Amino acid sequence: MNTLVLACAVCGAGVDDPGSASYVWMSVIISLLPLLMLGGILAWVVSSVRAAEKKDAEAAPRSEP
Amino acid sequence: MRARRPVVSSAILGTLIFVVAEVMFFSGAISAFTISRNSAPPGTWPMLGQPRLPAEATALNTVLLLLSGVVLLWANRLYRKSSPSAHWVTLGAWSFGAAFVALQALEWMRLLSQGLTLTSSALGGFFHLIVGAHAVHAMVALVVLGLAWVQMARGKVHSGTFFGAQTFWYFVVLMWPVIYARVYF
Repeated sequence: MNTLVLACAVCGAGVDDPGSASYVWMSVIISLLPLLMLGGILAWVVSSVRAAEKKDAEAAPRSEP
Repeated sequence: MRARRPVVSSAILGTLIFVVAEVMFFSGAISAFTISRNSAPPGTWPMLGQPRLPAEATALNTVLLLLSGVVLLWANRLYRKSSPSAHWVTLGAWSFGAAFVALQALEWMRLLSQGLTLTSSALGGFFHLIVGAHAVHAMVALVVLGLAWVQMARGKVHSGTFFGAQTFWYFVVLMWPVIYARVYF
């Protein structure tokens, strides 16, 4: 029985290959995913810092005129 | 000079950065699997003589793992309210997670006995890499959650430890449905 053997996971990905679309989509997902995750963490840290600053400002005693 | 205090727990932030790296590891593996499967000539995936993955039986495992995540969310709410029953609910979440790992181990043994090994085919290699790596993460997360539970039961748990353990467990819970949907179907 003839068996197709590929040297790597994407060696068979060509223009007319049914796997080429998934190759493109996986590349897009893998490129965007770390940016989205790190952006999400950064946004959460910034919002936490702002919330803490707001809380501190509300708790601080007001200075007399 | 104002005293400095952490706004975000170092345990949670450190765990989140670790989780980002782990998500990328799984994304790379799932990506290679998807491309390999879609590039396979028609009728050659899965390969001849290889068993079919038990998607129906694994659905029960998936429900157990998702349930453990929901129960841990409940435990978190109780912990924030300083409820004395929080550690029992945490133990419930741990038990559901342990049941998931045990059932997965049984499934693995059945598939190995049917000939699906790491070197039997591309499907076997990807299956054991992706699902095995998730199982290792689940076992480590169970140990971490178990240690947090022991500290809770003694009334000495640090909030950072519990939240860090929860973050890791939620990663294990939320990663699984993606793996299940991509690999088993």
